[in-house]
Amino acid sequence: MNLQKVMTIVKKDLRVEFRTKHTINSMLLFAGITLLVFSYVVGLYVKSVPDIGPAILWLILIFTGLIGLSRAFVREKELGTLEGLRLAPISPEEILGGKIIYNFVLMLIVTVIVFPLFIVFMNFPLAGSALLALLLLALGDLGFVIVGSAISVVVMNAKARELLLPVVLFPVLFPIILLSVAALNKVMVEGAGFIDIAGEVKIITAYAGIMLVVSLLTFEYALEE
Amino acid sequence: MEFKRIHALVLLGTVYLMALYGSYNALMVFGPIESPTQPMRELYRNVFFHVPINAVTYTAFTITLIGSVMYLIKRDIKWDTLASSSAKFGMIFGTLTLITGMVWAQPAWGSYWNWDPRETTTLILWFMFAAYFALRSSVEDDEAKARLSSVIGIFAYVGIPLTYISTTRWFSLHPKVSEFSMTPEMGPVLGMMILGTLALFFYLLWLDVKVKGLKEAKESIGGK
Amino acid sequence: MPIIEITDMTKKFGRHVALDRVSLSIEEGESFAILGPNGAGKTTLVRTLSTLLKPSAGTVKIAGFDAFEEPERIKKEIGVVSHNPFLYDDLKARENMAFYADLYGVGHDRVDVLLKKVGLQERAESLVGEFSRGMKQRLSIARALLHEPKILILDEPGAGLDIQSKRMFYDTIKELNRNGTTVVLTTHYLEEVEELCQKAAVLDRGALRASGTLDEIKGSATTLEDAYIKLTGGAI
Repeated sequence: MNLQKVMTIVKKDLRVEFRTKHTINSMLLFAGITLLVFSYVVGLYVKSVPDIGPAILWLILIFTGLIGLSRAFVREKELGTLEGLRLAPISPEEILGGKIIYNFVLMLIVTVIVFPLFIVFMNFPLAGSALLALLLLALGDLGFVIVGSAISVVVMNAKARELLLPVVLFPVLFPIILLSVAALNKVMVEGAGFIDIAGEVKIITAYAGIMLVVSLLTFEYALEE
Repeated sequence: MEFKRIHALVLLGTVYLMALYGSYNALMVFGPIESPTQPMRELYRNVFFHVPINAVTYTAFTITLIGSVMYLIKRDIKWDTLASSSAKFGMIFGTLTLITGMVWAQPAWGSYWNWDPRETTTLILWFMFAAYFALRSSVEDDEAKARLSSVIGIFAYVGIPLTYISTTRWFSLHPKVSEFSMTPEMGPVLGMMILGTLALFFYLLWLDVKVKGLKEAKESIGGK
Repeated sequence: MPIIEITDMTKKFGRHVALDRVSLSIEEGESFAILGPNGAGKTTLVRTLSTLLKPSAGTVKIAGFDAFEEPERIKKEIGVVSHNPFLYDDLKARENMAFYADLYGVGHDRVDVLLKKVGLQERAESLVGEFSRGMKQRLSIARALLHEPKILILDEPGAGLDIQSKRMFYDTIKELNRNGTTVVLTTHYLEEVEELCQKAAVLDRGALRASGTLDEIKGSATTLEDAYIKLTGGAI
């Protein structure tokens, strides 16, 4: 794995994306409108906002993330440049690594923008450290983009790939959704510090690590034709 | 060919005898157990069916994993046939696991669905393999179908222990559920039921792989 | 030793046999055309030579490396130009070139040399999305030449090109071929073959029908086209 080549892919993808900002704009708009809808509905009908807040925040983020994931590889496939990458002396693992980092950057941008908006629009009484909550979200994002990048390539060649991505992805993501929401609840509602969520953080990290290995090992097969 | 048929008959006979003996004991011989709640005194018999079915579910998905890995290495479509056949029975037995589990959960824990780690893990497993079939049905090319679903088969299998670990952690917040302990004579009967049900599964799997092989052969010689 | 050596190669897609025990060898420095009607297996053959497809059986050796065992080594020896330019519409010409230069581990000074060579130095800062088909194809050649490949694989490169671009394209290829680059070309235009290639192979329905110098392929026929129609059975 040549890190320089990985970063070449990342730089190229960021340059392409930020020239038009199609994907990131769609992600932010989607996150914004879902946040508003949730905020409105929750404000009307839910008595205890803090109890369901972290779950809503995390779900907004992963649904938003699906938009980014579904574009990262499909854009290359539609343009035909994926073949150009496959012809170049760059390994499938390096391509995947680049895409994971690129997707991670997009998710971080969305997370950093959506989190304060969430606090404001949901009128959320944040009990713990905002920084810790953000770090936790970033860790969840990382697990999400690792599995998501690999699986988005698997479904890329299927009919109705946009419909198939969440169906295939969410069961595999289940542990990370569960643990992120649990840890986020502890921090945002109960005001827990790092020590109290160390257990969740450990398992999320292990999950991300194991899935990274599986993704790297199987990616060559997913990319073939 | 004749050799295999005899094997299958022996297997089927064993299944029948074991399941008959096990069921007879479980339903007719054992008495009610001590339990504070009335339905539980008889309903514990469900265990003799639920546990073997569950064992088959997880065995089936392990075979899917083996078939998937072997397909990616060997690129022989037979391994994919094994993987997908096994996944099919995994789905059927997984559904039965969930149903028998819910029948048990209602009187034992108070509601049909409790998000118990084992319930949750089996449900997620079920969804993973439902997605496996959703993917298969939307890829046209046989080779791509086999290759891509093999990758998903591996992801799903690795996801299972992680799901179990994470749900256990979450569930530890909830009150511990009551279990029942088996009497000495129940152990062998349960073991027999497990072996018998596994044999049934292997028999079905063998049949299904064989049928698919014949269909494949028929298509390749241009039959209708 | 031939630079490309294909021995008894078969490629199957499921039950469909796209190439059936094809054997072919191409010497270093040759300019070689692969001909055949649509569906004959040309694209499959070229994609196998470019390491995009793995053969189902048989061996493919390119520049001394086995296509199955060491595709990574082969990638550094081949440059591919197809009807798809492999360029990013949202990047400038120079950015596209710099990106591929980084992937191939080539210094950025080559980028300007090649942009000049294909006559695009003045459009280096324009987005590729604004380019015409001919300009994209010229940039695509520059991209394929970045790492100075020993073998240039051209998969129907002339399709849809205007006359100026085609002229420039032919001249570039001829010059490269004169300087020792092996050229493998698939095309539907027989005049392209007569202009660019010394040797050719004719494929039909997955099997090799003929191969050799253009004169050998012509045989008793007066034109290459007559010979080609005869070899491929006149089938449409």
